[in-house]
Amino acid sequence: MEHTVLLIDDDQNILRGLARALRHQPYWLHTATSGEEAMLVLKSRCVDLVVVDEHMPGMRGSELLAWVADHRPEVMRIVLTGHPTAETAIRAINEGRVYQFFTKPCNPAHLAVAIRKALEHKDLLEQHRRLLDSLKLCESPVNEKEHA
Amino acid sequence: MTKILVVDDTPDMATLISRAVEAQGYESQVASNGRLALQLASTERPDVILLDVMMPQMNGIEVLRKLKEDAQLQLIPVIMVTALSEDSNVIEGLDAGAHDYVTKPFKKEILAARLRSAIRSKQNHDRLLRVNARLETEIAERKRMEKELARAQKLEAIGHLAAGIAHEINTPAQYVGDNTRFLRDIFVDVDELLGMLERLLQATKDGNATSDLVAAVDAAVHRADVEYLKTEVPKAIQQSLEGIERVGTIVRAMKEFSHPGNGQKQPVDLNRSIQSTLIISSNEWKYVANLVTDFAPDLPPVPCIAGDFNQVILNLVVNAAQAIAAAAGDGSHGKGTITVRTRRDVDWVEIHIEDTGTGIPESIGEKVFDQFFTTKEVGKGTGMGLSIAHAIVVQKHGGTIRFETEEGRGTTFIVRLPITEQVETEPTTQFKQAEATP
Repeated sequence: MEHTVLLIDDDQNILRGLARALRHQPYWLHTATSGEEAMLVLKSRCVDLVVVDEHMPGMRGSELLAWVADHRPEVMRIVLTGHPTAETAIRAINEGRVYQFFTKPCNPAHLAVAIRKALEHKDLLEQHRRLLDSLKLCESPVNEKEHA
Repeated sequence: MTKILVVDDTPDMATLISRAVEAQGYESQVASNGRLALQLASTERPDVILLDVMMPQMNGIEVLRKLKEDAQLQLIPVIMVTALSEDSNVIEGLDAGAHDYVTKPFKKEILAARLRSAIRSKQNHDRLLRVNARLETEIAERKRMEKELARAQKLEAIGHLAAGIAHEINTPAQYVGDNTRFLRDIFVDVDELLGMLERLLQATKDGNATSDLVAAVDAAVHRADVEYLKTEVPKAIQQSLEGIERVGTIVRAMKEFSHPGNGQKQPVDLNRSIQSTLIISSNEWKYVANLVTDFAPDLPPVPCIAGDFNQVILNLVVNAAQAIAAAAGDGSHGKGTITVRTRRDVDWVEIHIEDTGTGIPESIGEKVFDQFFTTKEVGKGTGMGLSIAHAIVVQKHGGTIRFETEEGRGTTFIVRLPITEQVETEPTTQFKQAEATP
């Protein structure tokens, strides 16, 4: 199944540059220029991973990440910020439970590798969950018999 | 022990007074003439001098005048000793700075009481001198601290800005890098395509272009995604140039802002100065506010210490942004507005910095200019910004700074600077002191 990655940054030039850098990657790329816009995209379509800038007008990146962690925990989360502070990093880790933290300027090849690893990790988690579910399905008749 | 110098040319009288003095528990010394009296006064430093007026050679009044001329001795209280009939001497003596007088013949109790009063007065005086000396040291220390604080506030502001400026530069650095790598990568495909086209051209000239070759060129065109490149390459280049321009603008503004100068006033283009300060501080306001600038085109150069003026504008703009952030909460209700205007008003230039923030409550009023007064949370403000702005505008530039405010609507700070240089009245930086609240 094709994955979808959502890039969020208030600077259009950043989004276009990253889209060029990641154009050959095996997933769909979507962009949003604010946390609010990103929330609309996340509510309306299936997204596997977000790359989020911290400093944006309106909703901060860490707020968006915290929302995603709470409401779409299965969506993988990566930070890309030009203003790295301890406070930003702590919030991203504790509230946003992020997979990786990048600072601008970063080499997009490193970002591409992190995205791929995060997507693989997500696939494995989902597979794990499916297997657990099927295991439960197998076990349940046994349990019923024991109770009977 | 309290020392009393008795000056009298009559030995009997000197002895009599001496004994009366010692009977009160004081130490006494006797001088039999004016010259000796001055000598003993400067070597022994008595606490009080009992000075006979009628003496040969140098009379008491002359001795008194000499004592009062000497900075070291003028503070020793002098009690004139005169005969009852010598009223004019008493007046002359008091006018010349005598502390008191006694008349001969005197009662011992009266002499004792007058001595006590003189000693008390001397002690009070000495205590005041000591306190004053301590106060002077404290004032000097305080002035030094204020200078240090002003410098520290500037450094703190610059340190804070540096983080914002790093962000402003890191962002274009990211996409200029991305775009350049993109151009490098696609050039591999483009180079291959060019090679194929050269071969096709040569083959066509030689008249042996095969359909295989044409198919290979077609494949290379497809691989290179020529349609995509035609739209993306010019954009990538254009956006990279924008990024480089942005970095250049920031670096130029930093240079303008930090303007080393020599601490002296020089003609300054205020519009340009303000513009630079707005650029380097953009990270402080751009997430919460839109900026409107309305600069008077006819502004003459204003005599200004550029570095100090920039600090004033920076403090006011950062305050405006923080007031808007405080009013807007998380900014989900849209951004506020900071409006910066410059105007000429006859011999003055007026700078307005208007925000749509929280406004200043009436109860605070002019206290905003007090040192260490702040309503910001810990870590956001030192309470120095406006006090320093006030000191720079008023003391260093002979200007004025005031504000108009409406709670919940916003605040406008108005800085006025004279176009023609004025004579400086107060050379050192002074702060408006916070009024002590009982």
